[in-house]
Amino acid sequence: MGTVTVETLTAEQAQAERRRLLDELGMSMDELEERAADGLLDAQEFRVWRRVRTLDWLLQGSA
Amino acid sequence: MTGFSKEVPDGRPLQDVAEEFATELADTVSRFLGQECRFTCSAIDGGRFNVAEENDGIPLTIDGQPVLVLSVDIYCYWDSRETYLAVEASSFKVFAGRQQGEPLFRYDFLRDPANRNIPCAHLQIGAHRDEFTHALGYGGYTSRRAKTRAAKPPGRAPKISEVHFPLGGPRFRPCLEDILAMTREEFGIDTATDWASVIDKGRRSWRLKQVAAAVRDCPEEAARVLQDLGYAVEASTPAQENTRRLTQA
Repeated sequence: MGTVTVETLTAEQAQAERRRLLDELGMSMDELEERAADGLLDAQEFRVWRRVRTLDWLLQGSA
Repeated sequence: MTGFSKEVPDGRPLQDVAEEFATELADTVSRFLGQECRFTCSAIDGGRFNVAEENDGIPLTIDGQPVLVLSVDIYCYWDSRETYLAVEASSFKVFAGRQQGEPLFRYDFLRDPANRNIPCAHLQIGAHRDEFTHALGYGGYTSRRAKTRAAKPPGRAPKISEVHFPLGGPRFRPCLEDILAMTREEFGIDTATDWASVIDKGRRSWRLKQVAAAVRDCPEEAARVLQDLGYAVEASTPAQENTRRLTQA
């Protein structure tokens, strides 16, 4: 019943997406983390913060 | 669901394992809510993958009105050489309205938190109560976190959401089905007619996996209990206790 989309990234793709998201938002991940800790993220910031956290986690384990 | 570590057949590519895991999750949530929920599984060479819902959270409706939003993030590690799949971290958040600001509450799991005194499975609640904040602000010196909190400058008062309420360690923590069932019971969200069977099935599967993991943590105790129940159990070699997991916060 549920639907799943699987995306397989290379480390380069993950890094490029990370850069693009933060550039478009005009904030660093440190700034986002600070706003997240204070519960101040708006919907767009939350979306980027969450995705970048995922990308960072994936990148930590990449070969 | 969503916290298991298990052995899977050798030689399977990461993408297959990730897809199977994500499909099970998507089915459970969709069948519980009675609506199709879409999930994305992002994988990278090296064996890690993340599963998260698509489209900014799963709306939880009450009488047809979207009131809450559920956010699901599960971080898995797949070691194809050891044929081992483990959840390294998970976060289930429930927001009011939309995904922004602070969630109403979140259930998090970190297999190995950087600070070993933080409960690996914990609940954080976005709430405020003066007395609670006041007590947090006192911050005793026996804990670095408490000390840091007490040293916060004016205007940065401690918050209840910073508190990690423990949930039973790595083996006895709640599963996603527990949280789904809680949203129905406490908020009366709309669900499928057969939601209870979805929850029962998921809980049973989760708890069996956790029991197996718990047995591996303390085989001698497991054998003793089985012997009490009349089973003949004998170890070929003495098994060691996994003290780390048994004592983990």
